[in-house]
Amino acid sequence: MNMNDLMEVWRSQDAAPLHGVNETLLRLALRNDEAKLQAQQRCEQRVAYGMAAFFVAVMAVMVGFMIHRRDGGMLTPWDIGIPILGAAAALFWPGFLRRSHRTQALREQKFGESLREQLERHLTRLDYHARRFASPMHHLFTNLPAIVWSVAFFFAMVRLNQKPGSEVWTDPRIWAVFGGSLVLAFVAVVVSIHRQRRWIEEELTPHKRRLETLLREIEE
Amino acid sequence: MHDSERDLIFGGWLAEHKGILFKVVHAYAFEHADRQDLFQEIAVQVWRSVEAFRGQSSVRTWMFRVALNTAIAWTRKEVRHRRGQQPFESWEGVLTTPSSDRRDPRIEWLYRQIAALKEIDRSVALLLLEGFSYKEIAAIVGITESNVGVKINRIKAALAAKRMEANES
Repeated sequence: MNMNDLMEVWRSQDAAPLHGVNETLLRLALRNDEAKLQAQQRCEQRVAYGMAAFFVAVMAVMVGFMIHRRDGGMLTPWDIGIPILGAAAALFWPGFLRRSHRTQALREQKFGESLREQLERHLTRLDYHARRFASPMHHLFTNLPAIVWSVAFFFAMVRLNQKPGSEVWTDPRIWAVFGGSLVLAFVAVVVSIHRQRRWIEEELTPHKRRLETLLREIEE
Repeated sequence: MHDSERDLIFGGWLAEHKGILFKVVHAYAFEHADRQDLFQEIAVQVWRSVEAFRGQSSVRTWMFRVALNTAIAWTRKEVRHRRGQQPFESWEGVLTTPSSDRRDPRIEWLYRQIAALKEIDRSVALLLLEGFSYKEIAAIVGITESNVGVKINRIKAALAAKRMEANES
């Protein structure tokens, strides 16, 4: 058999396909799949924005309580400033994520449709994830807002519950609770960083190596 | 574009060119479960690509391009991760397998030889067997025509060696 014979044999598949497809079911499955993915994306967005709105609302309520419950003599600029700082931290997080995703989407748009460009696009996406999870700045931007909000919440609660004339800031128990919470937050961040690094090593890096090998193969 | 319009176009593409999807699936996945998964992933990508199709190439070329791009970067693990480990229960029964007596042993042999090639060469072999020109293959893969020539010579040599081996045995 020469090449032409092989091509003829190959084309004979078109008359007797290797599989059958239930097209009605396929279209239903595609729609279902797309609807699920869209619902998942919407859910992620709603959770991010909903949480931010909730955290901002909590801080706004705290400012309201602070103004309502404290007489003018006890209200300090810090009592208002700290909840505002907490609200700003809560707003920063979804903003940062949105900007980061949009930048990556723009980066991916520049690639064409050829196999090589699609492999390069995949690599860019993997690099983006690897960079995000490996970068200390990423961890700073994703974890710090939650910590800042929690600290603001803590101080606002202490101030709200402070009895007139009492010196709450000299109470070592307050600082013990504060220090303990910070240590817990730090441990949670370290565990999260460790898990993400492991994910990079076990999942992303082998996939990235495979794509790099394929790109090299294209050149051979 | 409305989903109904997209469905209509996709249905037309599938009716005419579904063989392309099967060929790519068989060249890149070797277990039944993997073939099901890869077929799903390619079908999803082709369905999504309907909107991006501008008619600058034929539908056949476009479907080959999307199918190969999907297959080459596909790994079951990655897709499962991206989809959040969601089982595809709605896909049950979409892909059916005809009885094995319809399978031509020469085609089986060809698939075995294609599977033995490197992944990029597999794409080139599929395009070559489909009768795409060097220029078209170069545009689909994203390499120069001379590079396509080198790859095709290598593939032809490998196939010839295997044919001789098969004839001798």
